[in-house]
Amino acid sequence: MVLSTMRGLFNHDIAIDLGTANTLVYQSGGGIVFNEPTVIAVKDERGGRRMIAIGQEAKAMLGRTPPGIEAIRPLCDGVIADFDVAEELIKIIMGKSLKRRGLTSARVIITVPSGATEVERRAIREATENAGARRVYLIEEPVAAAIGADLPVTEPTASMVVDIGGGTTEVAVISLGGIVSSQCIRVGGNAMDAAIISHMRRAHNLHIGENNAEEIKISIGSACFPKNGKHRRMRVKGRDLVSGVPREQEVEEGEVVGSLAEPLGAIVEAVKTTLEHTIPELAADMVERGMVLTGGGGLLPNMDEVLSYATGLPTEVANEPLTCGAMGAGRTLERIGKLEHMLVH
Amino acid sequence: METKAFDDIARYAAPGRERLNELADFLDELPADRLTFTRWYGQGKGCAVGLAAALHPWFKAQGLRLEEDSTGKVCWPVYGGQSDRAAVAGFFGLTLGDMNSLLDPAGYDGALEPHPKQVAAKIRSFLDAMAPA
Repeated sequence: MVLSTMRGLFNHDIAIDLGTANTLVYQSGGGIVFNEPTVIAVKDERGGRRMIAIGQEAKAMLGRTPPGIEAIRPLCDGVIADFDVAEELIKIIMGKSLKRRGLTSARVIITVPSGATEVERRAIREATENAGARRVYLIEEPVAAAIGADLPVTEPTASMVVDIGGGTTEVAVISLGGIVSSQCIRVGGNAMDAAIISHMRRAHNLHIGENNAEEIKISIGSACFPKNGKHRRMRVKGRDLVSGVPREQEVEEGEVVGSLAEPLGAIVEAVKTTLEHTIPELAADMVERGMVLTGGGGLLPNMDEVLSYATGLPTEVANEPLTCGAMGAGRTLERIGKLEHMLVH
Repeated sequence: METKAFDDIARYAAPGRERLNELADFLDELPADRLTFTRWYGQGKGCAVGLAAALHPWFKAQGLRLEEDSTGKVCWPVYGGQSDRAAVAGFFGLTLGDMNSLLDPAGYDGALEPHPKQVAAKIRSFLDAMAPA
């Protein structure tokens, strides 16, 4: 315990899982030291913009800001959409995580979607360097998630991970430390929220916000209809699109399952495509070992059952699906000498 | 599915009855897997009106459009300064009750993805029933 604390005090290395929905920071010896929504609120001032809130506080402002204040998600579909804001966010996150320890001596490992282009990867690297990191390493999200989920990624056997994040879903088969086959689709938790918003508009003439949609997904969302036929219900507040006044509407689980069919179908297709592109020897491993779900989407009830039904493979949700990416990236940094080949060069 | 260029469409304000007929014709040609009542339109699928507004130039020429939010992932129909159901009811000259019966799951035993021909047939029955004696 004392050794661990001492190690944390002198350790300037951090792992950042910069996600579209949430950002997590892992520090060696300290575990997850930052876990907040990837949202930043800025205020327009003479000469530029000033940050006024980040994380949960800024997320609560989404859709509620007066003129002159803007709550921004600097990442869209897993990649940087607003470079300046993203850089500011990384700088703040590093400052909060490292507290008074010198930023300039920090080594930072940061996750990137496997489907990110060279330009998108460079943007993330530069934003982190500009934020003050001494050395920046990039690691692909599914690799980090697989390490965080304790899969034997360096062994000559297939490890399959389905990482359902906010902006993207990454499916990868990993063996001997490298990705053998993978798919990255720009469908994730945010697409599920958008599907719920669309459904509420179409079916109930009710305009709801992103936060309400996410609440519906978390409260009564599911990947398939309940086996016992008993649908959960909840009441949702929004603005009536005919009268323009606020009202409440009851929503049933079955409706939410129906509205999620499209994004979930895309995820199932990505998993199937990855399996189709996997060499037979590794495919044989997967019959036995199956796949592991990570990311926030892994928490959607029955997601594992739907994937298992669609592929015939055993499917399980990682112990801590939300933190797998950050934990895996952090473990890679701790063993950088042995795992350097797993980084993006 | 036959498609026409936007410029080939004659510009005139068709009455609601003609618009419903055109919608039924459009649905007869629509592949079964495109229709869903879960959203107006998105990712190539949508409800009858959303698909018509997105894909059929005749409806665009009549002034029916789709608007989308800042994410580009949520869209809805607009017509005559109104949006969503009010726009659809106004465009086809329907009451909201008729709209529920013709273009909503409620009219199809709660089915979210009825066959487009089923919706087309229901629209035609409605028009026949409304025809002057």
